[in-house]
Amino acid sequence: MNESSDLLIEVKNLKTYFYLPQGIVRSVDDASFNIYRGKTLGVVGESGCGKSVTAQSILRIVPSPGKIIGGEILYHKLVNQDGTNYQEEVTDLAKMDWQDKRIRAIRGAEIAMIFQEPMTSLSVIHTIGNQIEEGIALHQNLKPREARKRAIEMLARVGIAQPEKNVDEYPFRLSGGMRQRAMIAMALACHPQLLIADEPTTALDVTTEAQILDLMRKLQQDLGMSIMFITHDLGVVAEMADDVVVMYLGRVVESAAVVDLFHDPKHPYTQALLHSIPKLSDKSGGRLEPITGSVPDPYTQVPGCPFHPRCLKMIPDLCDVKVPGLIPVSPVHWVSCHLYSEGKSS
Amino acid sequence: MTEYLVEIRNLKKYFPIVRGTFRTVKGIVKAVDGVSFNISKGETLGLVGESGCGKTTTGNCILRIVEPDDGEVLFHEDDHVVDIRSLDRSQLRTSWRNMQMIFQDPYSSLNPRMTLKQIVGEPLVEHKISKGKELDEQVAHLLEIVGLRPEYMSRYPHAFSGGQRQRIGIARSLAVNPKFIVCDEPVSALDVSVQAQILNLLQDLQGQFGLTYLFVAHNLSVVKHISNRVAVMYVGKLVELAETEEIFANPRHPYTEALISAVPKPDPLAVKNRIVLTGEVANPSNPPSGCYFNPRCKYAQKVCTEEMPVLREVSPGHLAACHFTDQLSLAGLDTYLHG
Repeated sequence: MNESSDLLIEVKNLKTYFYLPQGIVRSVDDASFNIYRGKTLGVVGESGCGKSVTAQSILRIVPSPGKIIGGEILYHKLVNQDGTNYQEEVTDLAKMDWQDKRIRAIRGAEIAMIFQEPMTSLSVIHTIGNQIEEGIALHQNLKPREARKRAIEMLARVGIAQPEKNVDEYPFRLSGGMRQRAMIAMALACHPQLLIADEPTTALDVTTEAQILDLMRKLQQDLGMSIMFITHDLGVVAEMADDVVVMYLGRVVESAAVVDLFHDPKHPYTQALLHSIPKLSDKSGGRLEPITGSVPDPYTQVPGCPFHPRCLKMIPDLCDVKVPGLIPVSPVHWVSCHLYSEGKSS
Repeated sequence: MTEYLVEIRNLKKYFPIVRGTFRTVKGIVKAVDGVSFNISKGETLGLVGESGCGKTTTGNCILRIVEPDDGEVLFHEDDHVVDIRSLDRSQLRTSWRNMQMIFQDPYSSLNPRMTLKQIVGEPLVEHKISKGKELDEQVAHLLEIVGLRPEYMSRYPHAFSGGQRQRIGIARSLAVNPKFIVCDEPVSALDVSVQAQILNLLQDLQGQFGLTYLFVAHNLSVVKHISNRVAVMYVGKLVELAETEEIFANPRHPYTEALISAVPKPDPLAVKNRIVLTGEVANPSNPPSGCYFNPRCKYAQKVCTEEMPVLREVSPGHLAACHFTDQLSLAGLDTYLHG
């Protein structure tokens, strides 16, 4: 078990709801998980499972009318880090106002984010140099010339050729892979403690994806930051993550170390998900085992366990009534399923 | 001897790059550049490659949704062979009864103002196959085939999820009872749990109606799952083609080797000594000289920068376009799977 000083972010019973005219969307509903220093947490789930909103909640950039209505996001910050002596300062990000000075000092500096589609998340009318320098100037009080030097350094670090020249390029002049590299340079310019990567390689081709994943691993080794890696691609999670959280309809259904999750999945949803994907190791021409049904409409609140309508191991009068809590099957493997409540084990 | 359903000979499609006030042609993108392959009756041919390699354009050219510039597309109808490129517009429309398409994005490929009955029934009306009560019955039947309830007939697409919409698209393409379907990335816009449903449905329909598929996709795991043979494209050219198990076990082109290696494998214990290609896909309007893959190829030698390798049979049924394919021993899938 990790010691508490290894903890960077502790999310406890987070609830982020969207109040829309059509009804309430419970995007994140009672989610709890931990992110450890220097480690990568993979967050997997299908579209609409709340994985992106969870990330937005941590950074406090949930778009209106979304609101954090409950729970805690505890950020463990190390102060006076002079080698051996340091103190831990814990702040609850969920309780702050989104415009609070403290969260603005954290956002982009200590917790940074990269997005799926670099073209829509970079400004089209500023050069990438400008965009990287903006963050550095804001958080680190550097002179423009030094900020620019830093920007060029970062571009070189993420593997952009001729950084002195490309620093003055506009995003549309770069290829998809290069744009994603520029985004990573921007996010890492202030050496954050946590990098949130929201589907960073989904829009890229496989060979480019391999390059970006390699780069992220290398930068993590060099800079020692934690990564929260959000994706729907189980292959990418298997390669990148140390620990994995599986989400379904806003809830964490399973949380485990990566090897346990892939080789000993406990939750019926995780098991079904792993069975349903075509794998290169399978013989071609076989049959897949799909999960029946589809993710329900976001406005309907499923009573009981959110997965029960699609679950093959559903226990009537239990799963459709009572929401299961997170149950430990081992100290580092938690599952939210009635099959593992006391007395029952499989 | 297997019978061919579709034969493609030296297919070419060049798109001009037009710029400026006088609409002058500044360059040419060779989207599809001399591609040849055959598809046998009842088989699924997977066509893979990265974005911009021309795989979608190839599919579109076969159906003449995009007019090819050169080459032949031969379609074997019951007793005679039709060159799709020689047909006039009305003959082509008749031919479309035999060949249909399933599109990638089920959100933009269905008209939001049409009911399911209109969407699925349109090809039947258009080809004067049925009308009136018979049309209703046929649409209901088609919806049942793809796993939707016939009562949904009067609803609009917005009421359906991505997977259900893809089923609607499939029902529409099945309406005219085609022999050949080009599936252009049919599952890449869907969630993983729904992908499996659609892939199974496509397999079921193939068995039920004896369909032949050209399955265009970038996801190698999906392609491996569904295809009998796989063709790999790079910058408008075919670089390798072989039986599915063969191409994954013994790739004969360095690009295929790199692709197999790059796919993230859903197993944390899988061997991770993958080949990370340097650089990016060549610009199709200004490709490098010689083999288009040479700037990224770790095996490249002088001849690779000078001469374009031709696609040739390297072992029975296995085609590859590489100067050194016989000298290289490339790593197949087995290298990356743990015991």
